[in-house]
Amino acid sequence: MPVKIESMADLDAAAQVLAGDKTAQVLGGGTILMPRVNAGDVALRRLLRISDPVLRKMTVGGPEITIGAGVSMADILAQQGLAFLHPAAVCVGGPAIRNMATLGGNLFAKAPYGDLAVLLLALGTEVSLAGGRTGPGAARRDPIEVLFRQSTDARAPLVRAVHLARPKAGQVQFHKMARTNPRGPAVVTLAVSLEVSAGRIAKARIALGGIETRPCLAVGVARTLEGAALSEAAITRACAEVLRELTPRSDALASGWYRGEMAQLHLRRILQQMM
Amino acid sequence: MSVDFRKDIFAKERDDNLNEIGKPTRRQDILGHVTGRSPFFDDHRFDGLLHIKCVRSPHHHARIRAIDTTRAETMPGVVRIIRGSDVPVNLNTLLSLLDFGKDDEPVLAESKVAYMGEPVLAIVAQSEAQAHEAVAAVRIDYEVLPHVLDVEEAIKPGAAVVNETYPGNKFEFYGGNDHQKLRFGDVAPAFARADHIVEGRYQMAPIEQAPIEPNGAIAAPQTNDRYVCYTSTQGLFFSLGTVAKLLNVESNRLHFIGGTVGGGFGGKVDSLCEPLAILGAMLTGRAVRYVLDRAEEMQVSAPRSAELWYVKDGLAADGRIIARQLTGYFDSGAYTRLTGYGVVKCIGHLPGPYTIPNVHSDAYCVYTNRTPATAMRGFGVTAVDFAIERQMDKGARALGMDPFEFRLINAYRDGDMKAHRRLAGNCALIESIQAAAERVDYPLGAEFRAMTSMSGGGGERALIPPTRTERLGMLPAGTSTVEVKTTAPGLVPQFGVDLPVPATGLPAPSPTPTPVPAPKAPETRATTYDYGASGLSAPPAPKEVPPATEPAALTKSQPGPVTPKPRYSRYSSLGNRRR
Repeated sequence: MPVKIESMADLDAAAQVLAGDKTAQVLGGGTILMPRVNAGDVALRRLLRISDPVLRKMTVGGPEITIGAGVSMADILAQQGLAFLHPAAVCVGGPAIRNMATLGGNLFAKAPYGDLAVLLLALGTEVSLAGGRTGPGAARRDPIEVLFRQSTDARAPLVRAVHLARPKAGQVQFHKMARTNPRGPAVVTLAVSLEVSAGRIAKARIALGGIETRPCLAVGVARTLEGAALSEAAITRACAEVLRELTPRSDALASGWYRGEMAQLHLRRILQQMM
Repeated sequence: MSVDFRKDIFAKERDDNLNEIGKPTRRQDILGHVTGRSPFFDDHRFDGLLHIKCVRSPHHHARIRAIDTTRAETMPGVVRIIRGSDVPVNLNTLLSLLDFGKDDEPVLAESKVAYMGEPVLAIVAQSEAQAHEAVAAVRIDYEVLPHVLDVEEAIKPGAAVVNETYPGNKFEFYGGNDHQKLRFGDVAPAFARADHIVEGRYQMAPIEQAPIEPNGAIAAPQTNDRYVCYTSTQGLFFSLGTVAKLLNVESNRLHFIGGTVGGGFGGKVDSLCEPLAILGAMLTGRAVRYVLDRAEEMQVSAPRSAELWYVKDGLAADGRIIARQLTGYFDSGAYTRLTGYGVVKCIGHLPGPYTIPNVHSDAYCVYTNRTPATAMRGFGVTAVDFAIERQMDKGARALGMDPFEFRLINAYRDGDMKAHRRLAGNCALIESIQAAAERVDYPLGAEFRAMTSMSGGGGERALIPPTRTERLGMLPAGTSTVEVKTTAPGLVPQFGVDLPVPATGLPAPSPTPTPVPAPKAPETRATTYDYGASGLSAPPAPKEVPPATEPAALTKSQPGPVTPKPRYSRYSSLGNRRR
């Protein structure tokens, strides 16, 4: 059976189609789906290409930033106002991939992909979803974590846009560790956001990619840092907490042991940079 | 980056009046590549071209109970479903053309699968999409068997038998030995008097060659009962010989056209696609294309084998390595392909580029339920070099020495006797280390900067020491080959079991060599074989041309164990049918 590609002008209408047809998939930049199509994956029957301009909309001027799910990595890299996202966006593939790969696709990319999603998770990003909601709750936003907690069988929601507050200078750091640089798939991706008040860490969010199949938060590690001043002792305590909280997965790129070592190493490096 | 020819080093040993050697030269094929005009196998199209996709094993190890193709057969576009029983000689080992190893791998699995991704059926359809649909519609009833993915687990008693041809999960080398040995001097007393003992365990993963162009072939019937095959193979005649054997056809009925290989690096010597593409063309009478997709290229085209090494060094306080013991396990995956050969290469490479008076090594080729491994750039050498060089760093740390200087102390000098009993010559390791140190401003001591590979070797260092062997006891100094009397009838000759590798660097010939028969009829194609870019330079042993026989019909299943049929049969049944 051939693959059917439908163009849809309206995001909410597309969300309804998705809700009604379990075989339908959203085609964003195609960097994840097209290799499957080309390889003859018979599970792909119906692809929706959504041309709704809301997906390409960006609001970056003010303290609150909104980025449509259809915005590409290259679009993000072209925006000086989004410079804090550039370290992650530039890690996504080569120039050809970045021209096509969308933010929305990155949110659903499974490890070893999805570098930008890790940074967005550390930044406490919220997502607004398409369809399904009308009336007063329609504008509701969910924390980005809801996308990563889903079981693999669950139907992925259709993301309209992400919303986040502009971080302060020096608040966030991002590291990607890959076997081949600069474009290799991640062994471990780490993003750390620290809000410091009066010399003490008021709030910490530590996000990791590659450890599980989706980005995850190291809540226990963050807790060891909160309330403390950023010192070598605090860094050592935080690093020691990583493997108490997380069990890194093994795959062809790296063993779980190696991922755990690299996660601790890069966490230490990031925190030392932020001291 | 321009090439820096260090002509000051070894100036006396080099002739600078050669036209090509030592001079930058343009690749012959570079213009075609940069202008996009180089033709690849997949640039050929035929009217009514058919496509093959394989049904592959989802299990590491399983018995095939039943195959149900009922639905797939009636699907639109499906022209033919090829089973293992359709392959005339469905058992081969790649180096059988060199008389190395026993036939152990089917083109299509019949009774069991031994690795995840092993092909079971080949579906020939009018389009790739239709072939994919039919692949998804096939139902195979598997009885999942215990599997083994680790080399050390695989050779334990009671481990799952991966490959029935080698029930102990170990390749059999010449003389029936289950590993390759290297013995030089006597390590035990040297370890006893060493000032430091340094031990290490090193493990290397398989490495995929990752060519841009995947393995593939397009075959088509020609007039005069011949078949043309456009292929990405690295070894054109090697693939041709392999197909002639598997399909039991005369090699002169096959016309292989190669040319540009879109990246090979050893990953295109296995002839994975040519046999099925040509068999598909024979069975359908149409042109057939079989190309691995990217996921198949990564998962089921053979990588360089994984290796596991144990290294033990005995070090003198002055920095000399006085003994080195190495035990290695090559992970061949489920079938042999080229890994047994890689082990032979490896044993000739040990103990690395260092003069060590006592060396003891055992290297095994082990079967596991992983993707079969094959050639890749320096296979048999690169992985153990990783182990050796890490061990060198470890040794330098144990001695509190500089790792550069520790290597310089032990590096081969010209005239030194290597453990495999060849004299070292043109040893450039010392000069290479010095040049590397200079480039990165690494401070070497004056005595190390003054070292040269051209002096200090030979003399005592050129001697073969008395060598301890397990079966023959101590061999006197200077022993490089030993004559062993033949054993009683029916027994495997005990030759080679404990012997050092002889001076050729290759394993010893059989003590009672089989006379090499001369071909009965001129076979120009058989004697002009060229192994292409595979890294195999030895010519094939001449084969006896067997008498013409009439093989069984192609479509009949092979009853019982497959007995390889003559390669150069005068007629094939398929040819008769076409006539």
